[in-house]
Amino acid sequence: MDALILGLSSGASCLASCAPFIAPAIATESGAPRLRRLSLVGIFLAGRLLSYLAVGAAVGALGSLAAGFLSPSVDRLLLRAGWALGGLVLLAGGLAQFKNHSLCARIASGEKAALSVFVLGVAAGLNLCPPFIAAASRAVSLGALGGALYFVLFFVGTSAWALLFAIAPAFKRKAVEIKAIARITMLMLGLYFLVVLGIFGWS
Amino acid sequence: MKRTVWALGSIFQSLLLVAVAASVPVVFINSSYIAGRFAAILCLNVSPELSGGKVLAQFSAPLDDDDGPGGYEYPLGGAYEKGELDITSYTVRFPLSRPAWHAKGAFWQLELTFAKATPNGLAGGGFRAPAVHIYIGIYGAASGSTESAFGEGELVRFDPDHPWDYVVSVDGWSPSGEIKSADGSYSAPVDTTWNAQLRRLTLRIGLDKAPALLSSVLAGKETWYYVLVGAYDGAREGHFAAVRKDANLHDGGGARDDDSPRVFDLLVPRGTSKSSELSSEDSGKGILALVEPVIVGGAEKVAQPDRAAALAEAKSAETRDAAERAQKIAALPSPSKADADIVGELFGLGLEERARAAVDMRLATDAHDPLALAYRGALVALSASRASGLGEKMSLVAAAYRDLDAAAGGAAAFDPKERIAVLLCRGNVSSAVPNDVFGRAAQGAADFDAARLLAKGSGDAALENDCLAKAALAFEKAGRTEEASARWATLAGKESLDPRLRLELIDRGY
Amino acid sequence: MSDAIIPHDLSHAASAKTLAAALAIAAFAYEAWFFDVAGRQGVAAMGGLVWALFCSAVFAAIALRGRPGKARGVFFSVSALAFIPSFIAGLVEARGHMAVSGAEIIAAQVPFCHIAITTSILPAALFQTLDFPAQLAGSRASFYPMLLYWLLSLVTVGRGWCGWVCFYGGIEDGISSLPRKARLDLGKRGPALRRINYAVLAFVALASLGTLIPVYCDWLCPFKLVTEYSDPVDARSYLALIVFVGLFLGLVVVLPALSKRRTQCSTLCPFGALQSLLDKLSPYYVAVDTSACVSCGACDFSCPMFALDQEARSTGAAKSSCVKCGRCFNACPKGAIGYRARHARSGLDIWSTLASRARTKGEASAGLGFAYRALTAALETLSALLSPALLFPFTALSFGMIISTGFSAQTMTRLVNLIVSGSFSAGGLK
Repeated sequence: MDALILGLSSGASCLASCAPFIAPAIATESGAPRLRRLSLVGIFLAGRLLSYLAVGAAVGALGSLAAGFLSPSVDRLLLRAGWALGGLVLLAGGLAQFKNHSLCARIASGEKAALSVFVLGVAAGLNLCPPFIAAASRAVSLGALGGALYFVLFFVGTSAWALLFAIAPAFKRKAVEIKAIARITMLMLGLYFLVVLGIFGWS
Repeated sequence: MKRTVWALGSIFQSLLLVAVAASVPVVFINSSYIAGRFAAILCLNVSPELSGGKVLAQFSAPLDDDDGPGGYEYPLGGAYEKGELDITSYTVRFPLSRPAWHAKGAFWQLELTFAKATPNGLAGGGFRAPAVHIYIGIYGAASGSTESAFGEGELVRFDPDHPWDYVVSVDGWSPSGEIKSADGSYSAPVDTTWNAQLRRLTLRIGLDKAPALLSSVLAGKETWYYVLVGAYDGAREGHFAAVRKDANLHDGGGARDDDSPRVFDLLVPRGTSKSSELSSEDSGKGILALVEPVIVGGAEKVAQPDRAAALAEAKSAETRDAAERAQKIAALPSPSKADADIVGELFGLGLEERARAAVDMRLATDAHDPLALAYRGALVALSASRASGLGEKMSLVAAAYRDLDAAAGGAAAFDPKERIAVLLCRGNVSSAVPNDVFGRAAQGAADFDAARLLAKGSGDAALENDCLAKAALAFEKAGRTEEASARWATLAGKESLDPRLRLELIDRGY
Repeated sequence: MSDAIIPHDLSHAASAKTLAAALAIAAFAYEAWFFDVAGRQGVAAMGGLVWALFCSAVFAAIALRGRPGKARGVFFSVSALAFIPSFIAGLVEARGHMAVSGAEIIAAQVPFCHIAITTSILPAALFQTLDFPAQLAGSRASFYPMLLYWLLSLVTVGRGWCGWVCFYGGIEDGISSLPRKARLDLGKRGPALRRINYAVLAFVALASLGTLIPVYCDWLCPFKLVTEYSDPVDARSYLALIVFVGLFLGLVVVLPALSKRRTQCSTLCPFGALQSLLDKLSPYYVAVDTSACVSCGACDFSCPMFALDQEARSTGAAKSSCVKCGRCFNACPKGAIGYRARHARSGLDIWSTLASRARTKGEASAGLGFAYRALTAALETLSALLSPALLFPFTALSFGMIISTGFSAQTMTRLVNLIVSGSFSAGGLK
């Protein structure tokens, strides 16, 4: 139960760190039915969960969580990797507005939308915030099954913000404008995350 | 019907546009007040990542105790001012692994605030007087030391139950500080930032390359700190100047013997006396003074004070004062020209009309009489508190400050007692008016501080304590809690206190 | 003198308009005296008086002409030029240099400007945390006062902030109005540039939320050149220096001079985009009288913000990027453009309707003719006084004047001191 509460209470910071990845991606689906948008959010969350589980297991196995904290250099490396990966996907999405990039155009047209949103979720999940560390340390100490359950409940708590997309309007009238603006935003975010934060690490 | 609706809509729109036009000057006139309301409602904080991390622990230290075990004098060479070696506050922050905005790498931030700070005048230089050693102990460390890291160093030894593992040494003349471990295996530079306006030294200990044990601060282990301040002497190991019997250019004075500590001020845990710690050496046996650390995450060893008894004492003090006041009023002569000489007493006894008449008498003789101006200002401020309209209140307070500021500006050369009265008048008004409208609380605190120093000079301990408390309250009102805490901590160390002040301290956890 | 929106048969008598203008000028002059002169002494009062007289003269020109004209542009550019020396001199006096140091960041003493609201508003709303190292209160350049000014602007001038108040926009506004002809035609790029503006806002808001770094201030703000910046000490800060100097020269100086458009304001500034998004909260907008418009496109050429394209002309309302500067009023050969209150029926208000009724009754009545004529005059004056053509400039210029009071009067004081004593100090300032 307290896993769920811990997750809910850190929802705001999860929303904040995920917003740059998911918001433009959803905005490019402006005008689409609610179900499609929600399913993309679900795919994003799945990517995030995979990232958490994989990194959490790796870091836990290395014993780095036993002390209850993550070494700053490992933390920053993961963060940079997340920015770089997310930036790459956003950049591809942003370049999709230029028709001569065929891969990017396929990403844009929705064929690869699910995949790109999944990868964005993985990238977002590399951002290991302090509540995650706390939850992971706790989960490690609870053993295999108990730990996994604890962690999944925590994750569900943090994903409560995704419900926002359930109530958000579709903006059908301005859909074309919003999509165009979203693509430009993705381009800017992609460049910033990949180059400034990811490659150079200039935060 | 349609016409009526249109007509009403048109009238409403005209009124709306006029209201919008009027709102601009009205909002700007009241902007301080509204911003103050925002502050109260929104309760924002600047991101700790920018300021160096969330505060883990903050310690206040008493003012005016930069005299070692007692009686120490500053070295003569630097023309130092009292207070430059006086710690008022020490802050430990949580380590930060994701610092924001241009900061490089993970770090752990410590802050030290002084009562006075004078930069050394070099570009990028720090404060000229202090040398600082912070010895850090971490619970669970395999080994540590109880001796100074700098040879003779500070001439103190450390509590064997709390050996230190790392020492940070900083002074205003070196480009950066240094941290080194007790076993000598690790040393690294420490970033220093000196803010003369806030009188604060900020230290950032890099954690990226630090040994795993230092990184254990990230895990929130219990830590303890010996924070020692000495006078800077670049020629000595550790840069702490020696302290002799008599001060000279390089050395401080007032030492009892050759083994007296070279420490002018240090942070002591509650319930411990700095002067007793620093005079605990036994020169005959070659034993140095023993100092104890402040502990983060440790238990308080102070006995809880008896609030009920303090409350009872405060109430009887209140009753005694009321009776004294009634007696004094009864003993006053009838109103006459002589009232001009006792205007302070009349005001203090709450006889507003008589005080007003006395003020007018004095001003008739001398229109620039600072004492009369100060009391007139105070009386006008009192009438403002009884005024009904906001506009009337504000203009009365503005009028009061014209007199108070004129009085404070003009009384520099006068009798200390008069000067104290002038400062107290302005300070009291500044503490009473809303700070988010007039923004005078900080000035009020400064007035009380100045009055305190004058009271100290004339040996009036009760007045000195009263001014300390009022300054603390004013700093709290101005949102400067660190400075307020330093003053409460100073009061807490006083022997004889008015019972009402004692109660105030108990309620604040001192 | 005609009022563009109101049909001619209901246009106010010239005397009513003049009287209304005179009353408004008197009110403005009092306001200017109150904020710029009252309570100051000596040289500071002199500086304040110069500024008050200047602002009052600007408003008088606007009120008597019935449109902003060149007077607004002069005020706007002068106030922006007055901001720069005051701000830089203040920094140099306080810290010895323009560059922000680590000490200021740690102590949260970096001045906060309105553009930083776009980086800070989301983290503040979600975490009660300010991601900018500024004081929360205590000066105009701190967070709570700036938040207040922003909220006030939303319900008064809206994006008109960018045409009357912003002390950065005045630089560009002045440069873009200098050339006689545009050498570079950016008209067709208008819609794309507006989209980029919104995208910059989204980028700044999202990136700042995700990283808790004020991203715009860090990398994109061109005005660091005239305010403060991080000392160039390493590759990152040198790159940032190149970027903001490049953006300033390119978007604030060169492109506006070539195209007569405000390229930075219309494309880059996230605060402007935010004001556009929320402009519907302001009671005023710039309207096109579609019955008088002949679609010559002169307004489109003259608009520095790409707000009067074909779509705007056909719907009768300028796009949301309109900064309500009034340049188009002069450009329109038919006088078809003017300020209008939202939800107002074209040209008609209760006062002018009552005035025309009173005039009719006065003409019909023999004995009470004088009374009706007086009533007509009073109602016509009221109508002119309460018209958006006068009230919006009053509101907007009041805002701009009060915001600029601190720094403009201080610059005047510094100049006076420079002439009198050779020192550029703000001495004597109260």
